[in-house]
Amino acid sequence: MKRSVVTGAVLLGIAVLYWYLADGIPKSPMSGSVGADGLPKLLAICLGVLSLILIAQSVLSPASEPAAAAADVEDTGDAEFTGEGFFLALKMLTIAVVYVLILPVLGYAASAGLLLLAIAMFFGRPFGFQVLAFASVGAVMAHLVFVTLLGVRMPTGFWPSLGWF
Amino acid sequence: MTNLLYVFEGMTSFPTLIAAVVGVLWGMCGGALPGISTAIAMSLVLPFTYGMDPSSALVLLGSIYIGSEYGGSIPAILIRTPASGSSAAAVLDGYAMQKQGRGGEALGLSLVGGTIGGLIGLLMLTLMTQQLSKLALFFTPPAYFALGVLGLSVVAAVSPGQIVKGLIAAILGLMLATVGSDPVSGVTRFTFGYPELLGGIPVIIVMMGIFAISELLIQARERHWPDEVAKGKTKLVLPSLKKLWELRVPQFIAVILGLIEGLTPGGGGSIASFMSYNEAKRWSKNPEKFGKGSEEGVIAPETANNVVALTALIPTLSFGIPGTSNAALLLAALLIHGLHPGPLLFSAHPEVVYRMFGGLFVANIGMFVFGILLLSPLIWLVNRPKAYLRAGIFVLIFSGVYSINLSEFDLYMVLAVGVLGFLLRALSFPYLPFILAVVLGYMIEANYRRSLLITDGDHIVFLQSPLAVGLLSLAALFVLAPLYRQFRNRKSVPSATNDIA
Repeated sequence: MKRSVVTGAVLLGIAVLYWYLADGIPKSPMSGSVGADGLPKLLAICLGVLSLILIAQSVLSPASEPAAAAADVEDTGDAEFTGEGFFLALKMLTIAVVYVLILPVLGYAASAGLLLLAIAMFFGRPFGFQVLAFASVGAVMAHLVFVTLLGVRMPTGFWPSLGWF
Repeated sequence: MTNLLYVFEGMTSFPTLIAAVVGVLWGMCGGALPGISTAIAMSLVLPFTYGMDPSSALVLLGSIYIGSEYGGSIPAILIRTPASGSSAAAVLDGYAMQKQGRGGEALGLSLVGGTIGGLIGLLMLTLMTQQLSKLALFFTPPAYFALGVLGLSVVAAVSPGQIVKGLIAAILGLMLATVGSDPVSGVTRFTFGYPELLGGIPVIIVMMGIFAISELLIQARERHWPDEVAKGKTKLVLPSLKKLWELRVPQFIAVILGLIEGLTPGGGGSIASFMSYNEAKRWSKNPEKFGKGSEEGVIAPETANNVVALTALIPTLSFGIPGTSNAALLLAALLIHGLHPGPLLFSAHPEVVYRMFGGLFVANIGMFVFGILLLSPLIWLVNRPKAYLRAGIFVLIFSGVYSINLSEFDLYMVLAVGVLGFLLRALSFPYLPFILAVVLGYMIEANYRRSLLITDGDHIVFLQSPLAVGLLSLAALFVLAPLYRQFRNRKSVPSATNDIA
């Protein structure tokens, strides 16, 4: 029950914030009778109402929630998530964000190599020759495909300033 | 006659041929790799379709869809690991045949059944969509608005037992679609000062975030995979014509159910394959063999899968109703190329649609040929360490997204959408309504407001068009029918409980 109530409360907060932002959309004589803020405000109201229904459903029928959750899992095809699942997803997301941050600094090939290394190790491959070889070959392959073959201008990083490339 | 010429062009022109071949090969590889769904395999190539002509882009995606249906059967039959829901039914008898040393026969049945199903599905797609082009002249802004609403009305059907969550997911999708310039006045909305958001959040970013990034985040908890290994010595055994004739009843059942499920919003390969399996068992002379290595139990679901892969395109192309995630990706490809679904597509751009049909024919034949030639490499792929596979996918996603606009901002956007998709899935919200809303949001709002401009704000405009009235009525039916079914089921549960008491 707690998870649905928290989800409903967060969605209600999003609805209020979205309404506030929609209210700040500038008026234009060309917008017609509905206005540029018409649909966003309607969506905010709908989301608010549905969030309240979600909370009410969770509070009024707590006993049915495990069965409903089981049905949900079946429908979405995803097994029920625990705190550990969220934590592991957050760890993987952190690796991805770090990759995006280092991309302009280290350049495409080096960043891709580090990403390959980090994700392979995240999924349990031990640090060693095999995983290092995989990351190095993978980075070279990615560079060959995207930069050399497809001609995409990927970030070069600080290497050109050293006169290396 | 001209349309036939376009079909012939699709079958013979170099770009569509290449797209069909690459698509089938990638689809088979993607399908064979456990954990990579058809939708992920399709979304990973979306960035590369930007520079292609629309026909080739659609052929590429459609061919992936076709190829992955067979590719998915390989791990399902050999190591009891279905790569997607639609190949899950093949596990039941396919794996039993594998244990009896008849895995090659099961793969042969899957390949031939899939090819037959794909060709019949393509024929149905061609015949049924051709008739719809006659409606094109009646499409005005109110009708287009109604068409968008009809597409969105599938929300109830694809959210069984959790309509509130389905509606919330759809609203979140519509909210995302409002980011950027207002479709009528050009006023900017929710851009927070970022010029990159002026054109809205690109559909391609949403698709890659929702399908690829969220899937990898979901898989983050699966760090220790079972090490079951498929034997590389399995040899494909194709069924004889006599055998195929003996299996005509389950194939016929699969074609009929595949057509029905392909046309039904919220249907799809998983439902069609399991329904075909059940019906094939019911009509079989040897139902006791099902689950113990029955050939009928393999060919029925595998034929149905491939019929659905093609017939699901009928509502997608004709009405913009993508009943499945895979069809939604094809719809996204249409929008990326500035084409809008609906009957007008068939009259304004017949070359795109009919060349695609030609290309998909080649893809079906390609699946058969490559299925015979490439079994050993595909079995090798099935056994690759999952850690390396996932790392490679990450690099492919980021490289693909960056190559669209050469923008780091896009990388942050795809991660943000991926997190949203992950949260939807982790909290058991159906995510297909979200995708539908993102894809159809602009079309609905723009045509709603353009319609009101005609009558100076009077909603009577939607009742003046018979086509709009018909489509809106159909949309109401789509919403109310599942609600009624849910209500009836809830009523029957307490009465059943009382009966037991």
